[in-house]
Amino acid sequence: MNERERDTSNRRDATTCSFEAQGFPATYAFGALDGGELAEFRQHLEGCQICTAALRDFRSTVAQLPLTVEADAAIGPSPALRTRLLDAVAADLAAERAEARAVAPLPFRARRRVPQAYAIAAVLLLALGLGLIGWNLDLQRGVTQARVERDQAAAERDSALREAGRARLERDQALRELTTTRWQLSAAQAGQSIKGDVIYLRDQQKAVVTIEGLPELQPGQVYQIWLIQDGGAPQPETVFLSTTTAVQANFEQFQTLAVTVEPGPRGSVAPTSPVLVVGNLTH
Amino acid sequence: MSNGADDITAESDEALLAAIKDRDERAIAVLYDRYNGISFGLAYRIVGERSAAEDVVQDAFLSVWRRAVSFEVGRGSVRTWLLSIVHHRAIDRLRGVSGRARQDVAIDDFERVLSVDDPWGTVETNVQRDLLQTSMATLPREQRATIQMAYFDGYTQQEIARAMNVPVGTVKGRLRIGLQKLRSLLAGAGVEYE
Repeated sequence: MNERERDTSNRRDATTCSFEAQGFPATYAFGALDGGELAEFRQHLEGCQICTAALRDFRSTVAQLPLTVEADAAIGPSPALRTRLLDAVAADLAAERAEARAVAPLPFRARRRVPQAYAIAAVLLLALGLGLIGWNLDLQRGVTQARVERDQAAAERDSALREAGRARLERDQALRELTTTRWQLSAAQAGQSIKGDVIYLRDQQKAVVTIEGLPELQPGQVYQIWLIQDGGAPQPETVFLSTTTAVQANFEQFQTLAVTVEPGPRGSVAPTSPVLVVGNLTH
Repeated sequence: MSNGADDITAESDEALLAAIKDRDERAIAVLYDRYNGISFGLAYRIVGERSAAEDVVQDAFLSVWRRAVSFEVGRGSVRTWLLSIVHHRAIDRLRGVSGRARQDVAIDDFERVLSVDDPWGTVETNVQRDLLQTSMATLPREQRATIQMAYFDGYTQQEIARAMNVPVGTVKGRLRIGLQKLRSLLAGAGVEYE
């Protein structure tokens, strides 16, 4: 569908927009719009109130998604991170203050209150002061020049990053089809309606596991994923509470994925309950 | 700051940001103490590695410190702004590690536009999390997985389409319907936007 076809329902008095109906604002809100459609939608967005309003709504909802992350006090940043951050902030502040001192003009009151008894000395000081002002102006010019050079360097760096990004995208698109595997999951016991799938992103050694129909957890319980090598003991992996989770592991080393219910919040080192879901990780 | 010079821990996020604009180091420390857990959890969920997640969190808080003047009170909450920076930095890192390019969106624009309304106000975070997780769980599996890949894995529509073996239009449709349902469920639970 071309721009004109998409825009046929996007007149000033229209209440619907084909871009919105096709999911452009939602996809853009995720930062997932790509290719030619990205530029096309940005251009469209400038004149479409329907998509502008939809985008605002979708962004409000996307902004809540961080709250779906599991809270686990055992997985938090190290205390050293706080120290590193505050050290960096202190260094930033010191640099800002040094720069401010270097460019600050002399206070007005200090220039006005000159004792008459020291007129001759004042003349000498004035000469010295003029020299200092000249030095100060030079310094300001230096600071300004340094800022210009810094901004130019940042712009050049950003441009280089964009170029590199485009090159990586082209390469990645060529590799993408070779780097994703999908497996089905099914109930381990007959009569249960549990099913799911695993989408494994080989380049990241990361899998998205989605399961439907799991039995409801009792307080203090979690679901736990296990990865199993042929003839080996189950290796404990991610615990989760909802129906979708991510697993960071090299799945090519394993032949089976299983899910059990374990004591929370951190799960078990070996399964303590029957397997609910199982999947054959054929390679 | 209304609580005097010695205690700013009870100040609102907006007051802390105002203090950061005035270059009060204590304010960024309080903001960090308040949000390091959820920031790290988000970064860890995306990058999947502890030291990388810590780098992302440090980078995000430093960005808040350096760019607090660009935050406009009234355009959104400090928390959503901070978490949008964490999310963006983490996805950038993920794509850098995997050799994937991030979407061609200027970072200033990205972080500015994500300063959206936070309808939750001061409601307890755990209550919010439970409600969000419950709402997510009610979405069909395909919509959940698509949202997961777009938000937490930073995949573009074309990458998701290839991974799930569906047309790009289907990906866009799933993201749209998924977000609409999520928004409707949250509204039904009493969360009011704007």
